[in-house]
Amino acid sequence: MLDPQPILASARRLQTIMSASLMLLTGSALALAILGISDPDRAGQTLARLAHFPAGEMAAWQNWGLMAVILIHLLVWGVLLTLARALFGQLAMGNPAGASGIARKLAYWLWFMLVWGLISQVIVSAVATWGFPAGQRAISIALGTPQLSVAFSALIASFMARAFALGADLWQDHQEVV
Amino acid sequence: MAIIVRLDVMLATRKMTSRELAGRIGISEQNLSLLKSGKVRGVRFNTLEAICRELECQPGDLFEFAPDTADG
Repeated sequence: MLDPQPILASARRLQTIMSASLMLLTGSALALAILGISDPDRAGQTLARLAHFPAGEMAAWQNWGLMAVILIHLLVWGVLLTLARALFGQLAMGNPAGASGIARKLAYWLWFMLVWGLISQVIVSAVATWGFPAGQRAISIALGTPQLSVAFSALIASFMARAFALGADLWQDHQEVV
Repeated sequence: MAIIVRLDVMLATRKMTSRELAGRIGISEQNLSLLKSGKVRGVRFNTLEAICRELECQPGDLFEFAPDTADG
């Protein structure tokens, strides 16, 4: 007879880690929002520098545009962490069927994060260089290690979701044998 | 269901309660009840062995095959 207690305990620990990460992320989003409200110029220039664009004088709408893009990034991360916390919560309760549905949603959101990552590059490059002289304005899109890492993670998560569904069926089968 | 479980008959002839048997063979009363009503997908050999030992019977005394008729 299988003893599920060790994996249930691990799932509970991972759920706690996800909760802590979610709180940290919420704190970061709040800090960014406060910085954006109190000093929008500085926040906008910092974000442009982080995106590897020269930080010049930017209009208010550019600062807010860059902050909106970053906040959407943080929101997507928040959704991913919430789903991961729910997934480990279901596993901790010994409900693999519930976990398999959440794993599928997690995989979808990882694919969304990949697409949004590419779209946001275009938005950030256009917004950050909007005020530049003609010829220096840019719309850029890059496909590098970060994008490939997210694509690889999304692919693995998609397969893991299917494995979870199979595992849930096997667990149900196991439960119905006395 | 083509397999009929005759565990309740065996318990009655042995004058043993479900609770008592469940305690002796080390499974929950709920699982024993599911087995009695045939609402399980399978029975482990060690469960079957324990039931046969406690009820002093053969596996064939506990189950009966009744083919499903065409009209259900």
